[in-house]
Amino acid sequence: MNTKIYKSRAVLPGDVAVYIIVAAVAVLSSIALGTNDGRPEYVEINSGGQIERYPLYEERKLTLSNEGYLLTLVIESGRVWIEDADCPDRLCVKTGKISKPGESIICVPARISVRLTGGKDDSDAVAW
Amino acid sequence: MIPTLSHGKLMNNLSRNSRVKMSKARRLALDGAMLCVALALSYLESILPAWTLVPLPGVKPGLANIVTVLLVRRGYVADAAAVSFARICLSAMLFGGPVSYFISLSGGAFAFFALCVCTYALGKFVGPLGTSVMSAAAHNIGQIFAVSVIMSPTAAIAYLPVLLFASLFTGTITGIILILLDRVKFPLS
Repeated sequence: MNTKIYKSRAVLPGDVAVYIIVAAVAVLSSIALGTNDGRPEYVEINSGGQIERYPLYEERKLTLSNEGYLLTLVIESGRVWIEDADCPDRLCVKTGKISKPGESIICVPARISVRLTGGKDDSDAVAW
Repeated sequence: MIPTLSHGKLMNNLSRNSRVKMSKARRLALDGAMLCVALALSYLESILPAWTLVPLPGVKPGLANIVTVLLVRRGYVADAAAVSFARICLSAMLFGGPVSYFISLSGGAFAFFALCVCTYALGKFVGPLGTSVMSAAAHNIGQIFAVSVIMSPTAAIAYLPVLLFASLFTGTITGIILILLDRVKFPLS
């Protein structure tokens, strides 16, 4: 087989610029969303548009149902996680435990999202 | 230094392959073969345990995107769009559902746009690594955009920093594969 190899550099200056830009946007957005500091106070559950709030520091086990799916949510010692779900990909279970303000667990098939609010979290005030 | 496609060769590919007409049968065979590869890679991603390449939930290495980037870099832009669209439709039917279809479609469209900008407008400065990182980042932004539209924007946006960091790694993995593929002469061309 006639395999031609074209001599050129594999890494161009623009590549470095792309890495820096993407990393910078990631760092800036993480600062803007304020997910790194403060203590959250509430668990906000958005289940198909219906929003419910629960205090984070009360142990609780909830069964959420929407769009024909069932999710078991656990609130325990300032952390929240989905223990079990019958959706196909179970990404919400794999997301694990969340404990910082602004962090969220999303189950797309069931249209349920769980978010931690309160404390220093001002992410509602951010333009997003 | 690893040899790769030079800028001149890349531009030559872009102009030659978009102007010269391939026979219909040849084009169909090429696109069909590329679609098979892309689907196989999609399947591979879906059966691999999530932590194999990237230790984060919901983050995939984006191997199927290699096919799209390769086609665009060789000048088959319309073919790349067609293969990418067909792959998203088929993999949603096979491995996903209607909701994940819209999310993938939005991600695919964003990624394709970024890919074309990097290759056409910035091809002189940005190589395969930058192109695939940009494409991966755009894919993730597109997915967050779709989730924001379907569900609540505030919940999805929290994933932006994590997914952007992840795209640096996944983009590097696919970029290295692309650098190696640039040394191979393309079949059927």
